[in-house]
Amino acid sequence: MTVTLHIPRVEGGLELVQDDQGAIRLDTPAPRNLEAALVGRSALDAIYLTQTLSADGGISHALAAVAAWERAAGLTPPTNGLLLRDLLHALSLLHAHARNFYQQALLDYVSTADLSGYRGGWPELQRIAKALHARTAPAWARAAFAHPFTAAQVDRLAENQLRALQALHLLQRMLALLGGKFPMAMSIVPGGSAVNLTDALLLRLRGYLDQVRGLLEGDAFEDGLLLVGAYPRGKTQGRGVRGLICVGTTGEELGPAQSMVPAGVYLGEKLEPLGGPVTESLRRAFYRPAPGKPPAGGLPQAAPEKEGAYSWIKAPRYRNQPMEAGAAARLVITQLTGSRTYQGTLVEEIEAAVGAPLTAGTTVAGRLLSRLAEVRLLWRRCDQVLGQLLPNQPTVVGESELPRVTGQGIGAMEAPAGAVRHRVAFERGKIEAYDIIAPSTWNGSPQDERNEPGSLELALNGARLDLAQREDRLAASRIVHSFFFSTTDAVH
Amino acid sequence: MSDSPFPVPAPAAPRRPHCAALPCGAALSRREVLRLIALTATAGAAIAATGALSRALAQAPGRTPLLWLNPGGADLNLLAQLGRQYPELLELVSQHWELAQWDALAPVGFTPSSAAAAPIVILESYPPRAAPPSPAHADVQEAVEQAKAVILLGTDACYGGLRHSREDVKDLEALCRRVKTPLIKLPGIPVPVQHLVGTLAYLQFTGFPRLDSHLRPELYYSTVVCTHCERRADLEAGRYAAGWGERGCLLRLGCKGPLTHNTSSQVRWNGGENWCVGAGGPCTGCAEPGFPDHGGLGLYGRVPGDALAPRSPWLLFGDWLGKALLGTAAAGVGLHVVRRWWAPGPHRPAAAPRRPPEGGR
Repeated sequence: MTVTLHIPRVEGGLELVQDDQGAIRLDTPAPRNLEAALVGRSALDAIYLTQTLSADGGISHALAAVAAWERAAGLTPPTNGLLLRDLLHALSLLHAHARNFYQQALLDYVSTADLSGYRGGWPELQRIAKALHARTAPAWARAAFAHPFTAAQVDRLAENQLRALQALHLLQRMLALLGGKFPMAMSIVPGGSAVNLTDALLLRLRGYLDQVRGLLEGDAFEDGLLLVGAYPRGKTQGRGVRGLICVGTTGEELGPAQSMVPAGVYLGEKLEPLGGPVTESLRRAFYRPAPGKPPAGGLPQAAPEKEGAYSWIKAPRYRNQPMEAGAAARLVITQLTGSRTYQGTLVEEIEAAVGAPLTAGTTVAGRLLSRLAEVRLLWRRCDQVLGQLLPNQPTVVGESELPRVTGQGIGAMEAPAGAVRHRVAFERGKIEAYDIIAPSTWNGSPQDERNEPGSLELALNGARLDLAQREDRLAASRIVHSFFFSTTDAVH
Repeated sequence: MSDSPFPVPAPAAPRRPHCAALPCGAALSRREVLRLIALTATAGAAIAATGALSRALAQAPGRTPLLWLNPGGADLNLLAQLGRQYPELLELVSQHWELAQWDALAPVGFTPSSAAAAPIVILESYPPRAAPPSPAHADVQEAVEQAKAVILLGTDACYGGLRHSREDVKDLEALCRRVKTPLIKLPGIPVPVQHLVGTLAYLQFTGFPRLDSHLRPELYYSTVVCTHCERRADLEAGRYAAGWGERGCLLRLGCKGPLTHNTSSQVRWNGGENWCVGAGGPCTGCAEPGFPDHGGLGLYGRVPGDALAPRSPWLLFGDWLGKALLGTAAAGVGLHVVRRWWAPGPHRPAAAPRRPPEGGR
């Protein structure tokens, strides 16, 4: 019998379908064809419109889009502009990680109903708890499940959850200062950043950053260790594919020492520079290949009745291998390149908690802890950038009138959930073809020609779940949230 | 208790309002509610007024249930609403927002939260037009049929154009007309939180907000962005930014401020922290039905000069009218003078025959 499970708290909605043989597939809504809508528009439009793909990864999409244009036009932003973009990016990662852990993943381990049974002295939480226990409370607030935590631990998690909400608000303010509003950044323009960089702006950012750090630092990683310790199954459950991909962050242009995360691929037990061919397999996806060679040859055509297909997600492959993208991939690749020394201790800490090396295939616990470990690296990065920004110096080069460039550009950027890659062909300054590979496309991809599934599908099927069982439903939800999967990002 | 970074009031103390001037609590009079709602569209007091209204909403007896559906869209608006600026909003969410995707093990689809009261349905996205309607269509239809009012949240849900096609929007409008459910559109990417709270307060306490021809609440979508723009002086003085990051009015970089009706230049986003022009980005007109193409102008296309002209004929032809009046007056005066000099008449000043004879009398 086919079992369907709706995974809650996933952007854009996601359903898992388990067939008679027990195989689990991802069921998503049909795409809304953003790539086709971008054809014929200006590069500026792509910077704005690709941000609507996902609330958490939007800024990374904009940065990839602007990088693709700058690559094609041969434009290099000034240091100040790159640093401003990097700060915007680091803050968006912080926001996304805090939201993923406290608003999506945590509720798979402790129910909202349990969190609302708060007995501490925080009046605001008491009020919310009272509201959740009210007779009129909706169903989601009354569904509880068993958990192994003590009352004091649950109270601590509840308080940290509210603290994180406060931190999210402050981070949104910082992102608004740098980008105009959250979740859309209006300041990312070809040639740099349009923000007027003043001393006053830097002081306000510094003030907010100190407040956020007081709310989030330490707590998040310790809360992660608490969850991992309480659910030992997570240490082995949800093992993804062995290949890891990371496309790097802003700062490559400033020299390798500047970039927070270098680009690289971990494949076949060794690290290699990112340079191999990236292809998109349509074998099991509801698409027919484009008549020409993408991107300039047109886009794959949707074919909902295609024989043997089962997914609206295309299957990107690096050297024909499935790859996992995300915070774990970033940590591993940064450590293996040896360019950063302070990451080593974090990786050791995670591997000690999980009990296996991250390179042996990341699991639910590994992904969760990597994301929270990255929060610590992001503090360091934000501090560093705030110290390097030069107020009242130019942040942008080039004309506002875009040159009529003909050519191709590839822009890549690490989003919260993993690698984003925009490949764009321009014809006299207008977009001729647009190809987006989002992190959730890497992770959520279906099987390819060699019947190898993407990381999320492998993780779900490797866990031997029975989606009719309540406990296994929770496990499936934990696996999906450990990838920070976003449907609107995967199916675009 | 000591862990809390927030000041903890004494347990017995009565709850203090946000601001002494703003009445809080459930017992608001209609006049006070109306005043607070009006304040949500003004600079300065909007944040406090939104907080007071969300508290009033959370505590009001006989609340209307809320239902928030987003069966396929991005979380752009949800995230923008859920900041902790307004803790009462969180309380409201936790009590009454049947966030369709919140519960860890919730079944898919719509379940009416309460049989007694008709809910207000907030739609951030809805399923696209399909030949055999999907179960998601039935869910949305059921929700709309039972609803007291439907609020469309976000530009794409309101007008289509990007993720929703314009036909999807027409389908939904037709559905609302058929089942006689009033429809309110709150466009914006994202929708400022004060617009949503103000509209909910309208529906809860005072009736139905006045809408413009695009079904947007007049309170929030009747003022042109340029009216309160911080760079308005530059516009009037003709100082235009020629490149990104420069000071001056952003009109020549493609700012859609003159065509856009919103409170963004006054109230701004994210607790009043900033807005597009504040970060050097031109307004993209995200609250207008023409978004993102604006009738062929393009997202960053320059607004032509004639679009900036005032709409009223008195102002539109003011120059001509003034000149014509001036001309008429000048002609009249001239005619008068000429007549005084040339035309025969009793009042001609120095005509010889009228002069009294010398030495008379």
